[in-house]
Amino acid sequence: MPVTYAGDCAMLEGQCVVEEAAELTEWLLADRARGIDLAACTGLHSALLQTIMALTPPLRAAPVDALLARWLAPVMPPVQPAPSPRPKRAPAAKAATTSPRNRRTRKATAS
Amino acid sequence: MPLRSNLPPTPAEIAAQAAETADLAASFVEEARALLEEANAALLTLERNPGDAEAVNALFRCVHSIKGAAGLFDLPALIHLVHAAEDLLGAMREGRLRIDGELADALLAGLDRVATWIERFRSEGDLPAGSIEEARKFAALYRARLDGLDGATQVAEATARADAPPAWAQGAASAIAAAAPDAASVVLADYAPDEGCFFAGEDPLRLVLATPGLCWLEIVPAQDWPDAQAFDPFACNLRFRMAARAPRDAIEHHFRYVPDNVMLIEADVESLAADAPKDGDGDGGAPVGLPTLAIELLETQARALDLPGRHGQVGDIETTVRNLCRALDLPCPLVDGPADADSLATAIAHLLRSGARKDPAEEAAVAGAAPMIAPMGDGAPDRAEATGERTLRVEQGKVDTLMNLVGELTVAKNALPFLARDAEVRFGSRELSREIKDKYAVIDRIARQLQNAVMDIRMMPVSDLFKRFPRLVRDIARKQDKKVRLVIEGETTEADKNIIEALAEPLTHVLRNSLDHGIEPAQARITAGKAEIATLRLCAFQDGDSVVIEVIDDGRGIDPDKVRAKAVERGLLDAERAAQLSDAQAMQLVFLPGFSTAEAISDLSGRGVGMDAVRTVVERFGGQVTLDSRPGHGTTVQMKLPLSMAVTRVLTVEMAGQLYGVPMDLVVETVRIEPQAIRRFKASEAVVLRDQVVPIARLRTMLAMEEHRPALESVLILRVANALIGLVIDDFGTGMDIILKPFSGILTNLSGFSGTAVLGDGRVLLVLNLKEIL
Repeated sequence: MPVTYAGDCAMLEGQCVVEEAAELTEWLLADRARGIDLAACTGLHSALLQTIMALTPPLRAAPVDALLARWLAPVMPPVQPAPSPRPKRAPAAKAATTSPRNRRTRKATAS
Repeated sequence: MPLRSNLPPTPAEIAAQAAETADLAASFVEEARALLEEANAALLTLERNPGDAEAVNALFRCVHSIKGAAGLFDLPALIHLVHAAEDLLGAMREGRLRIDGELADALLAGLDRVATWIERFRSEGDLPAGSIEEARKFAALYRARLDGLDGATQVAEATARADAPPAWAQGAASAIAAAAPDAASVVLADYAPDEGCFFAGEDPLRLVLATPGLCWLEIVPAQDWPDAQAFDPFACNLRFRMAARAPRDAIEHHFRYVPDNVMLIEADVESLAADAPKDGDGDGGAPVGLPTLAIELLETQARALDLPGRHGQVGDIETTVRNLCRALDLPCPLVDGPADADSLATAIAHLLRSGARKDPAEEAAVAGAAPMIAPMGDGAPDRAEATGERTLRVEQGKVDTLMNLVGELTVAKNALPFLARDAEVRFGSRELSREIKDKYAVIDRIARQLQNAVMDIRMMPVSDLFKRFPRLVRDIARKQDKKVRLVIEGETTEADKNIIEALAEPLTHVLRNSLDHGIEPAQARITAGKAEIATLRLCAFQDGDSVVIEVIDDGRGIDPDKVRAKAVERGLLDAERAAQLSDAQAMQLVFLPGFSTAEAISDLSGRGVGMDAVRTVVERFGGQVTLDSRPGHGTTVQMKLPLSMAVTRVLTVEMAGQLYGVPMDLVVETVRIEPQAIRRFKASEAVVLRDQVVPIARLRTMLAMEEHRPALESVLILRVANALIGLVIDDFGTGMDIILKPFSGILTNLSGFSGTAVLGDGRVLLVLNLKEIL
């Protein structure tokens, strides 16, 4: 089982395949405070990557895998404690619940 | 799991497939050639009649089949080109796009390119270097038409983008330079996967991360991320921009399965930074989606299954289908345990049918690519029809061997009447003689049927020859800005393969002559009060033992005075003789070697070889060519050739106890006349036959034999080059069918004879070449 959901954190382990994307999306959407842990992840399917990029869940741990760490770091949400609405690392500690909403409204006005 | 990673065959499979690959490749080349021809024809029909739905469909089918078949091999460039053409044709099929001359030119050029590649693949087993570049150019051209149709992208933009470093790379120049500090140049790639690519088992990220020499990567959403609730994780919205320090070929090879979605540019690291960033045109419109790889794979498997000699392959195909189902997480329609060919075919058809609607999300994703998905379904029944046709492709050499054997049999069979005569005369057994004659009659009948059957195999409809001409006529007409309608009649007329093949070149000459010299430009035609569009007719019909091919144009015709003047100018004959010629005779002067009426030598004809070459070829095959023209109304060139060259009918004649053969088609009649009926005029002799003066020639004199004065002269009345001539011989023999063998070796250049044949009793018959002697 490459993805285990424990409390408010999804652990992605090993090779994570496309089929996981639906469940992960649903799970992350159910509560936007939920975060993910990529530490043990060695392979990420594009569908999962874009899920992370689109929903920017708080990242509990960045991937340890060298390849993933090197190339995916720029698009990963900032590592916790608090997620930020901006893709750039922001030191501020804001409430997790506000950030998706902020982001959403910004997108809505942009489009 | 990504689909592709499941597919690489095990070493055992590789070994098993190696032997079959060659067979498969040969079938592919054959098939592709036929399909290309068909596509060419359909395209020309379509150009003439843009509303012809049948022609669009036929064209689409051909192109689609080529793509499917090519999928068996590693021919990314070819598939890329054909795929782009297919998109364009899909739009045409839906009536969104209409064909015009320019588009037809582009498509024809594409087909030509594919044809070249196929030939290259046949001889070398691969495609020339840089083929993917060419394919991309064609694809860009086709896409430009499609995009112009959608009004989205500018043509110029598409082409300009192909060369200049893209804006995003310029913006990231410093980052790229930092990532590749000691590299002079990097390959920049912009990879925009299809929205539905996940359903094809693609994992763009995995592909990107495996890029050789990857040194810089930027992952961006192709479009802004939608509202979180509306986000669909299965609609790929990623765009990868990368720089890699690897040879361009390697990168190209790496992305060979997604050529449509990748834009490669080789750029100088330094110049990247130097070029000022222009307006950020990163988004060139997502390319139209690839048909899913899975469907393509399935189709390929179905095709492989249809190929002859498939039995060794069934296992491989089964493995592929099972892997594919597993990779796509589909229930495999195959039952457990080894499958046979039929159940595999059903399973593949089932998967193909259900492939498009296995997920509503995918349907939404491929909605934009509907023109490509729909034909996939259409393709399957076509293939089923194709298998219904029972034809056999045989190497020509085998048929020729069979033909020779039949010839030998005929000769051997002809020995039996001699044996019968011997039985009666030498051994005094009339009964045995009769028995032999009976048996001879049976063998004779069978041999004849066998001969007809073999000749029938060699018979080809002239359409095989004619089908190349619509293209030729179209291209020349377009080049010369003339309006020509080519009418082809009697395509089903059949003739021997050798004849058909031999006629290709002369016929091309004649058609070119007509287009070049005969048919006037549209304006001149209107001035002359003719229809604006000229008609060029190409007719074939059978006339007795001959096949006649006519090229009739309604152009300006041949001016006999001009021909006379030209012939004199060229020194082909003197002015006095030229003046004596009738108009009809004067026109025949165009057949003289070194004659050309064209004012300027064009690249089409008028090099002074045309009609002379035509006549030479046609006569070499025992035919004749005539020309008839009415100034201002057009010209008719008629070529008449024997239906089959295998068997020649000759009349044997006896000369000093030796037999000679005279081609039967020259013989008008045989007469015996009193020596005194032959009148002498100075050195020449003539006889009056039914109020017609027929000049006489003596074969004995010509063959340098001693004179012979029988009580009655045997005279063979022949028609040689439209004139009657009497040939005095010793005695008439009988008519017989012979297999004429041309001289070979040191006798090759022997003049006066066209060849030899072996008679039933083992004697050798020399066949006279009367056109040469007289």
